[in-house]
Amino acid sequence: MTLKDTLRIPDSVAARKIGDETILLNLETGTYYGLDSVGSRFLELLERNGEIAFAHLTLLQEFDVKPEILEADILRLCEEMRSKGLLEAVR
Amino acid sequence: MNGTHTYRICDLAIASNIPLPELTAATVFAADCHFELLPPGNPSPGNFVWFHHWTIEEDNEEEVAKEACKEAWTHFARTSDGYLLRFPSCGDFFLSADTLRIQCRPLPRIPEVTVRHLLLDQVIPLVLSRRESVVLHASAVLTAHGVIAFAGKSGQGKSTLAASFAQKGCAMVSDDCLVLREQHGNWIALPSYPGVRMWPSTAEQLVGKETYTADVAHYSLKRRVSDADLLPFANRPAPIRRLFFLADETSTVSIERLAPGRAFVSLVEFAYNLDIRDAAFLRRQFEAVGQLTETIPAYAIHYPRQFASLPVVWDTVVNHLREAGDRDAEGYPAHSR
Repeated sequence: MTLKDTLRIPDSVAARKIGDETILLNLETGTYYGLDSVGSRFLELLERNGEIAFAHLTLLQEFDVKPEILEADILRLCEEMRSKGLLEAVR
Repeated sequence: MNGTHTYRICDLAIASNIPLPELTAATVFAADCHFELLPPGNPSPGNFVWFHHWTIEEDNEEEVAKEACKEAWTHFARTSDGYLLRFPSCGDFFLSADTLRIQCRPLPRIPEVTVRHLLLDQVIPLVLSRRESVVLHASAVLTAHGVIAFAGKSGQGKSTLAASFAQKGCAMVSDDCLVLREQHGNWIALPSYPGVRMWPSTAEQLVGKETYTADVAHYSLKRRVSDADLLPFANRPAPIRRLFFLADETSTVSIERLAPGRAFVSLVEFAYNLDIRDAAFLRRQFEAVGQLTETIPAYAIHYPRQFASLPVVWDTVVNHLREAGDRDAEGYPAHSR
């Protein structure tokens, strides 16, 4: 996975922002997941524009973080969420 | 159905072919649900795929009950026209998919009191979970500030806590199964049915040795206390005001606000759910719990599990509600509390 990829939340997932966190439910497995405030902000940006690069660029402006570190963190989160069925690639 | 008895529990009109003396009889024009006790027999044969299991583990005071509770499993399976709930040591309950029909085939020699307990306290909450907004494993009482709920695992003391509030004059809304219904953005708690289940020592401490208590089930030492003079029971719905989740025991009493995410997860943990694989139901429950989290403040309550501490818990909760009431009057948004 790279910053050029585009992702979305599949129909089989319910997501809801609760406070500054986001709760996700994989309806196929019945498993709940939580994202902290930063992860929640990332998902919000991804829902607005599915390109990971857009979220990366926006978060760089919002947080004091090195681009390569943010990229690694984002891609790791995306991989983890995709492996749990919480994100899917847009073809 | 001949010999039909009709009752109401949590606003559910139920018709039964056996008397259910724990419930208040009601004149019902059209029942929402029909219960039929079948002749005793062996478990239904068939290669059922069990998709879910319940284990009841309580922090019991008597070894006999502890052993019995360890065996009190519930297995969930889908059938061609609904669900099978198997209580291996007691019998089978069959639910139609629309939950309009419940049948029980008890194992031989299982007494009716046990069947009624399983029906009222384990099966009906699952039926209600299909029909109502949110059904919680929680005790609740009606205070001067509205309904407050105590949610916690079995054996954590929620019935004892609620009963101690009832003794102060707060009507019991539920002992174990709290139905919360969303109505135009407001959340209403529906009274379940009169009575509280408690350990003999708890009953002795709270309502006295001389009070009449009834059996709950043949496998449990718990007693059912239904004396309305000692423990008044709410007879109409009322707005839910606060959710308290029973936290680990501490030496002092304290109340802390739960972060919204934690409140959400706690609500899901204590919500009844007949079919954890039903995506449409899960989505509906997800939305309902989300709305509830955003509307009703949730707290963790820590306290010593000693009878002598119950008056302090009462004072702490009442002061908390009074202060929260003052803030409400000043127009604080619910989510900022």
